[in-house]
Amino acid sequence: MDTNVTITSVKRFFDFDGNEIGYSAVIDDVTRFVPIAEGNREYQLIQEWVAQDGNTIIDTDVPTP
Amino acid sequence: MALIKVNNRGQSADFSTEIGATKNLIINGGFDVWQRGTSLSITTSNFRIADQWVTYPGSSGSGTASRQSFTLGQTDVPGQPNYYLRMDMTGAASSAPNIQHRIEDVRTVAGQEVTLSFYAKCGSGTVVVDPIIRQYFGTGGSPSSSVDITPNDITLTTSWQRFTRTFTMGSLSGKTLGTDNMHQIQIRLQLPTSATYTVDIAQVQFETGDTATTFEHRSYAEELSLCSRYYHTSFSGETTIGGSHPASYSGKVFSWCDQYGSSPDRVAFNYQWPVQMRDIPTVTMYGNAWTSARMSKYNGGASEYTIDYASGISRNGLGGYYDVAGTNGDFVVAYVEASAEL
Repeated sequence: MDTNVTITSVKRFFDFDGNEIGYSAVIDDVTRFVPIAEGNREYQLIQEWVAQDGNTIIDTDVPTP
Repeated sequence: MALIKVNNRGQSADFSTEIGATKNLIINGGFDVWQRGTSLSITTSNFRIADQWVTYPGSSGSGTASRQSFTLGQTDVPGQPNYYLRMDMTGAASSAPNIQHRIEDVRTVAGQEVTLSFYAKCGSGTVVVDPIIRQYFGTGGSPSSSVDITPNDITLTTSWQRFTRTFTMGSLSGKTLGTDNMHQIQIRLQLPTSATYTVDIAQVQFETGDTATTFEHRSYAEELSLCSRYYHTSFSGETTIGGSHPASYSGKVFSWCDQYGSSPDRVAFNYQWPVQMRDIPTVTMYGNAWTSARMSKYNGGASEYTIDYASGISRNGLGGYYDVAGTNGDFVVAYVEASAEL
């Protein structure tokens, strides 16, 4: 996997039922919507990023319908 | 009626006479499709250039990748191709610049004899290209280590030449795939370090057998459809993100804000990819000023409104209600791109 990508921040989003549906991640200065999908390249990059000390995914509120 | 000899893959031996044959395992080997734009400054590693092609400029390396047109009627490269790739490395790399093509599924042609062929030349002098064919097994779980095949180097000159390399892919016996569904074959063309140069490449083909056959020409529509399994943009006309906007409303996806006066305003947004994508894609949406995670009013000029998250992303499209404050019951538009690339 690519170690030269810069991830600045990651937020975790939920559906109305509180299920995790994906991330909003700032990757190389672009905000991208990343699904929970093992085969998604950015999802894998986020897993590597959060595994490093000091990196935390920020939870957002569960939306109201 | 002419007889067509058929090989053990159900394909004719003379593929060039077939319509719809898929002997070339490379997608966009003719560099026809450039959905991200046709002239791109290479700024980072894993930088996407022509569809299905990636470049790593190497440490300190930089340059431009562009689609170049063949002169009509030229005969240096047969078949009257439209385009070729130009890699103009203007900043010398201190380590391993390369151009890559990734073929989904490491099981492809495993254990078989294959032939890589392409036309290439350089801008001046000579440039040595080191091809590496990598079987990559992915990550997650306990995947096997990558296996590299290293055919002989290729020396480019200032004249178009066809280069071919035949070799046998590694067996998968005893190998293990990762759990991330990213296993692949990488066709890597390693470029020189510590130098600046221009490299032109055309008609890249990777096929089974010990012979480089005639380059398989697919129509633009066929090639674009194959590319769209991995990347799609709503922009038409090969618009570069951040560049000039397409004419009129071309490439914008229209939606409707249906909660006028509520807080927040909610936009019902639905959009379908032209073909099912390889996996659930990463989605990026841009407003009229090309800021990511934004929408705009259809007539709102450069004004943009923040999207928190694009829900309902699937391999087929995206759709859902998005909180986009400030749209006030109006039509809204966004440019959309989706990537499920390897």
